[in-house]
Amino acid sequence: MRRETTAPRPDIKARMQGISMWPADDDPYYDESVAYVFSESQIETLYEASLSLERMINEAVDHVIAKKRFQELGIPENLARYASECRRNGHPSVYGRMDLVYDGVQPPKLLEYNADTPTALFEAAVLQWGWLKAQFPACDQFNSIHEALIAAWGKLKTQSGLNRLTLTGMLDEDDDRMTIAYMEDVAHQAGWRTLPMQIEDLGFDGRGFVDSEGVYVQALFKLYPWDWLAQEKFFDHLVELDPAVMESAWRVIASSKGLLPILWELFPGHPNLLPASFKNDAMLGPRVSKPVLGREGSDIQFIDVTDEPFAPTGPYERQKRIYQTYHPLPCFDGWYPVIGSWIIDGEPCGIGVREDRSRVTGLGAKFRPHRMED
Amino acid sequence: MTKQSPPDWSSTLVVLSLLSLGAAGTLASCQPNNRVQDPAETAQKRNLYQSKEACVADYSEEACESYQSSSSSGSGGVFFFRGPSYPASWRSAGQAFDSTSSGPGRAALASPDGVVAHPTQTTRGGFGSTGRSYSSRGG
Repeated sequence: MRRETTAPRPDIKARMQGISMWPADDDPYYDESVAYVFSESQIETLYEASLSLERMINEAVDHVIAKKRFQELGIPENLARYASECRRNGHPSVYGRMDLVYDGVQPPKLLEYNADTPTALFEAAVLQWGWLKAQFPACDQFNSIHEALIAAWGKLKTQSGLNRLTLTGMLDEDDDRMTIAYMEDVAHQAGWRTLPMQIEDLGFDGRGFVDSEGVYVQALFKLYPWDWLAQEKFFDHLVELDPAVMESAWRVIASSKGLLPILWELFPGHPNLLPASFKNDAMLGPRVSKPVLGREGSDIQFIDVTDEPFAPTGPYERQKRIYQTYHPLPCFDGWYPVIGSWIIDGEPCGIGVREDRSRVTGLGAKFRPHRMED
Repeated sequence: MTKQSPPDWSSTLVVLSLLSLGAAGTLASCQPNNRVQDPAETAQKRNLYQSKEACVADYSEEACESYQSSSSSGSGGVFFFRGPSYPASWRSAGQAFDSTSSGPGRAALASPDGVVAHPTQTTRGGFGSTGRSYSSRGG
C-alpha cells in the first residue's frame, strides 16, 4: 500500500463542475492528484476481512435481538420492536460501508459500520472508476460497486414484484443529493420507475404513504437515519404499514456503535476487531469514546491518547457512549487514510479511500482513487 | 459504468392510486381510514391511472388494463387504467425474498375492485424535522 502523486484527468474540473462537485476555492473533496496503490494480496486481505466482519455483524445483530440489548445500543423501544420484526421477516439490505483502518501490513480493523445511511458512494463507484479507465487503463481496481448495486436493485424488483421506487432524504445536503441521485440511477437501470423527493414532502393519506406525484409509495429508499425517523410524526404509520424500505429498520442495529463492544464480546481477539467496551475501562489502553448513534466523526473523545487529535463537536455529545481501543490511522506524507469497504447485498464489492490531515476523518477529508498493481 | 439520464416522467403523472380490499369498493366509499383494520385488507395494491399512457410509463402495455369503477348510484363509474397488483407491505410480500422462489409478480395476487385514495386527504411533513434540527446545529 502506498500513496502516489498522479496527474489528474485534464478535464476533471469541467466534469466535476458539470455535477456541481467542484468548489469555488478549487480545493475539491474528490481529488485525483493523489492516489493509493494496493497489491493484489492487500486487496484480497481487505475483501476477506470485510466478508468476515459482515458475517460477524449479522451474528451480532441476531444476538442483540435475541438478548434484547437495544438499550446498550441507544435504540429506543419503539424502533427496537420494529427493527426486530424486520430482521425476523428477512427484510433485505442493499448496501453499507465499513470504515477500516489498514496500513497494508497489519490486519484491517473495523472502526465502525455505516449500515443505515452511508454516503461517499458515487465517488467510490463511478468517479474513481472513470479515473482508472482514463489514466491507468491497464490496471485494475477493487470496484464492482456499480454493477453490484444494479444487480441488487434488480433482484429486489424481481423478487418483490414491486415497480416504483421513491427515493428520499435531505436533498439540499450535497452528500445526500449526490447519493440519492446515484442510487436513483442504478435503480432505474435495474428497471425501477424512480422518483426522488424531499423527505418533508412524503405524504400520508390515512391508508398509505403518498409520493410527490400523489401515488402510493411502493418501495422507499431513505437516506435518513432510522433513529431520526423513530422520533417523528409518521413513524407509527410506517411501522403499521410496513412498506418496503431500504435500508431496513434492522440496519440501525448494525449501524450503532454499540455493536462494537458486543462484537468484541462475541468474537474476542478477532484480528479484524478492536477491543471495545460499554465501560470507560483503562484496560483498553488509550481509547476513543464514541456516541452510539453519532455521525461524521462528531463528538468523539480521546482518552489517554498523547497529542490528542482534534475532533469536531456536534449534536451527539449527550448520547450513550462506547469505548474502543485507540488504533492510530497510518500516516502517508502527513495524511491519514481510512478505507471505506462497500458491502452490497451482503458481499464486499469495492473500496474507497478518504484521507485527512487530521487523525479524525472529518468533513475536511479528501476522497482519493485507488488502483491495484501486481 | 455509463450514467443514463432517466426520462422526464413528470408529464404523465398519476394522481390516483388504488388500494385493493377484500370486497368490491366504490369511488363513493373512498374516505380514508385512520388506521388499517385488517392486515388482509392491505395485502395488495394496484395503482390507478387517468390515462393509458401514464400507466404504460410505470409498467408496460401488456400490464395495463382498462378499469371502470362501480358507482354507488348505480349509474356507472369512472373509467381508469390500472397496473398490476403489488404487495402493499413487506408483511404481505411474505416470502418475497426466499431465494428458492423468484419471478416477477410472484407475490402479486388477484386483486378485486378497489377504493381510490383521495389526494386531498394527504398530509405531508411527518418526516424530516430531526434532520433539520441537527443540520442547523452543525451535525
